[in-house]
Amino acid sequence: MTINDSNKPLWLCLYFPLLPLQVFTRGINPLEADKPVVVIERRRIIALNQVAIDTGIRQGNNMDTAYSLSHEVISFDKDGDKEHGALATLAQWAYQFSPAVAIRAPDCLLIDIGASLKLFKGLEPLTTQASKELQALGYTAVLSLNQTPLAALLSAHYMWHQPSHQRTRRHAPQQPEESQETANTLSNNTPDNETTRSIAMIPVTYLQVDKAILSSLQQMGIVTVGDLLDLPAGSINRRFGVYFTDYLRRLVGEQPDPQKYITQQPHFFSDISFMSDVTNTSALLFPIKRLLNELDAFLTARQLHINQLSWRLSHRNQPTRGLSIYLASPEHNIPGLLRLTQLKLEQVKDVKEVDTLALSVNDFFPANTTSGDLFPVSNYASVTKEQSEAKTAQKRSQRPDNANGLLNLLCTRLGPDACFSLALQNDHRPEKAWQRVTQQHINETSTQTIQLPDSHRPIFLLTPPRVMQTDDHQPYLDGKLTLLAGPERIDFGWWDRPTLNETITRDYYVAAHSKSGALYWVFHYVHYGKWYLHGIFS
Amino acid sequence: MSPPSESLPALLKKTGLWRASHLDCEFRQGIPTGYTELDQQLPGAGWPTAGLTELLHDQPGIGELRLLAPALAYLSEQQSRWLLWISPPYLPYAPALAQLGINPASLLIVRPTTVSDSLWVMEQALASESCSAVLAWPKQINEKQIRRLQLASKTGQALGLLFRPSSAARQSSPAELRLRLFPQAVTPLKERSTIGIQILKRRGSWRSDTFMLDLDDQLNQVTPDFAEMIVRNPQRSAPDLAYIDHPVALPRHDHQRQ
Repeated sequence: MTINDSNKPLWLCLYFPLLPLQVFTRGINPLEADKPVVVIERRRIIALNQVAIDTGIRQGNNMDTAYSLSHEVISFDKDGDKEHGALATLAQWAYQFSPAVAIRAPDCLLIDIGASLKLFKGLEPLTTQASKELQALGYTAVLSLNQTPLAALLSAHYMWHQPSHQRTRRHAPQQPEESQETANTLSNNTPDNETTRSIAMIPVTYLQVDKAILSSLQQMGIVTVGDLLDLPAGSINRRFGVYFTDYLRRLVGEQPDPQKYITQQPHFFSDISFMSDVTNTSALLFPIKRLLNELDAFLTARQLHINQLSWRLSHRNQPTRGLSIYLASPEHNIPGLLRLTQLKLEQVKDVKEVDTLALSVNDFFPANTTSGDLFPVSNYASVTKEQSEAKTAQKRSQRPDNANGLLNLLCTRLGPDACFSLALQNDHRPEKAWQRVTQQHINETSTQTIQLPDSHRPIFLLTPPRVMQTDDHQPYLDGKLTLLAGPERIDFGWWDRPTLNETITRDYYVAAHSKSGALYWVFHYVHYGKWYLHGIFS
Repeated sequence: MSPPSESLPALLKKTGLWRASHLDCEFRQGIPTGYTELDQQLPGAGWPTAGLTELLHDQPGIGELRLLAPALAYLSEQQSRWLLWISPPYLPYAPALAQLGINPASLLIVRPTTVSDSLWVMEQALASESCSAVLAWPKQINEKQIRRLQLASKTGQALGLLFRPSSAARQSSPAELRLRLFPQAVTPLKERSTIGIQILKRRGSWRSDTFMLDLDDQLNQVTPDFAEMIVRNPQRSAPDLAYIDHPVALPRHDHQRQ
C-alpha cells in the first residue's frame, strides 16, 4: 500500500447528538432559551434541552411525567425528514473543508480532511473554524478524528457519552509517524497501528453492530475494542460471521471503506422553526442572521455570487408570505443582504405570526474575481493615448460597487419598478427613441451605435402628449405661444398599425410662451390641425 | 512694524485676511457650471458638492435644466456614479440628454409615492457616495428636513439640487446655495435663450442682483418664414393617439407646477 503522505486520509467525524432537538431549537437565541423543550417519538422523550434536564425530565420519560415536572414544556414530534434535510444542509456547509463529505445517517457527517490540512494551515485552525461555525449555526457537535471513517465515528459516539464531555470537544490521536502497515489478520496488529491504539480503550458497546453480537461479546468478557482486536481473526469470523469481521477490518483500516460523497447542490435552502409564534418581525433578525451566515459559508465554499434570494415566512394557519430581494448584479455581500432584508421586513405589515422562516436561493453565478494591476500605472508612466482612453472607457462602464448598493436599496424599499435608467433606441419616432432600463438589466452595456437627431429635443417628454387649446389655429397654453424653430416633419407610418390606412404625419415646432418665455416642444397632425404639447425644454 | 515698502494688497495677501467683497474661491471646490459669468458669482467657482443647492422657479421650461446641463454632462463624463432624479415632473428624455452630452445610462430615475419615501431616498442618495448628482423635486419639504439633507450631502460628495417653487424664497433654508430663476421673454435677435438668475444665498458673500445668463443652446433660432409653412387645415377629428405603444405609462402631471 503506497499512499502519498500528504494525501493520507484523515477522517473528521461530526456527530450531532442533539440533532432531533436542535432542528427545532436552533432558531432561538441561546440566551433567550428558557423553556424546557423535548422531542418525542412513540410517546417517549428521546431528546431534551438543558432547561428540561434541569427541571428533572429525563430521556425515556413520557409526556405525563414531563408535564408533572414543568407545565411550560414544549414538545415536538420527531421529524426524520427535517433532520435529514438539516444534515444535508450541514453537509453542504462542510463542503468548504473538503470535497469528500459523506452523510452517515441519522446524525453524522464524515469528512476526509487529509488533503485540506495544508490549505487550512494545519489541523488546529480547521477544527477551530468548524466548531466555531457550528456553534454559530446552532448545532452541538462532537468532532473526532481518526484514520478510518468508522473509527472516527466510534470515537465521536464514545466521547459524547463521557461524563466530562457535555460540550463540543475534540479528540485527536497523534499523527502516526510511519505509514500504516497492512496486517493480514486482526490479531496480527503491529504496535504502530495508531488507529487500533486510539480506539483500544473504547468499550465494545459503542460499536455500531448488531445488539446480539454486543451482548455475546460482553458475556465473553470482552469489554474494550482493544480486547476484541486481540482475538484471532479466524475465531471471530467463525463465531460472529463475515460481516462483523468485515466491519472490524474497515474499522482499523485493513480494508478500504469507500464512502458515498455528496455532490454539490446548485441550490440553497435552509429553514428555521420557532417554538412559539413570532409576532414581531424585528424578532426575526436573529434567525435571519443565522441563515445568512449559512448562505455565506455556502457561497464562500463554492466561489459563487447571487443576484436574488427569497425569504419565506410561514405559519401553519396562514398563507405563506414570500419576500424576494433582487440585486442589480451578482454579488456576495452578506452585510448588504442583511440590510436589504431588514428594509424589506420593515415594509411587511400583513404578516401577523410566523413559525418557520426559510431562505432559498436558486440562481448562482460564478464569482468573477477581478484582480488589480500588479504594478499600478503611475501618472508619470508613459501611457499611450489609446491605452488611457480605453482605461477611462472601461472605468466609466464599470460602476463602483456601492452604486449597485444604492440601487438595490432603493429597489428593495420602493419596489423593483420604482427605479429605472434610460437608454437610447434607434428610432426616428420620438416616443420610441428611448427605452426604460430596469434593475436587472442596468449593468448591461449596449454596443449599439445610436444616431442622434440633429434637431432640438426637449429634456422633459410628456407621455402621452397632451392636447392643447387652440386660438385661431395657433396653439395656446395659458397664453399665446410663439413658434420658433420648425417645422420638423416626422412620419408615423402604416407599419405602426395595420388598420391605419393613411400616413400620420406630425410637424414639430419649438414654441415659446410669449409671456414667460418658457420653451415647449409642440406638434400638430398635418391632416387634422389639432395641436399637442409633447415636451418641455426645461 | 512693517517696512513701508510693503503695499496694502501685498499685506492682505500675506495675512490671508478675508474681505467681504471677495468671494473665497480658493478653498472651496465646486463643479464648474460651464458658464463663466455664473462661476464668478459662486463660491468655489461652481456648484457646491458638499451641501444643497436650491433652485427656485415657478414654471418648467424656463431653462432650469439647461442651466445645469454642462455640469451634469461633466459629471456623467468624468464619473461612473449615478445622476439620480427623484420624482421629476415629467419623463427625462434620453435623446435630449444625449444631445447635451449627458449619458442616459448614468441616469437613475426614482418615483417614490409618498413624501416620507421621497425624503428617505434623498437622504440615502446624498449620503451614499454613489451619486454624483441628486436632483429632487420635493412636493413638500420643510426647513428641518432640508437641514437633514444638507448634513447628508456633506458626507456623500454629491451635487444636491432641490427644485422648489419661488414662494419658498421667503422661507429661510439651511441650503448652501439658493438661486432664484426668472423666465426671460424671447428676444428675436439672439440665437441663445436667456435665463435670469438671482443668488439669494451663498457662502462668503451677500445675495446678488438679478443678472442675465445666455444659455448654451440654439433654441432661440427662428426658422425664417415658417408662418407660411404652417398648414392651416380645418379641424378634423384627431387620430387615436393610443396607436403608439407608449413605452411607459407615467402618471399624468399637471403642466403647471404648483
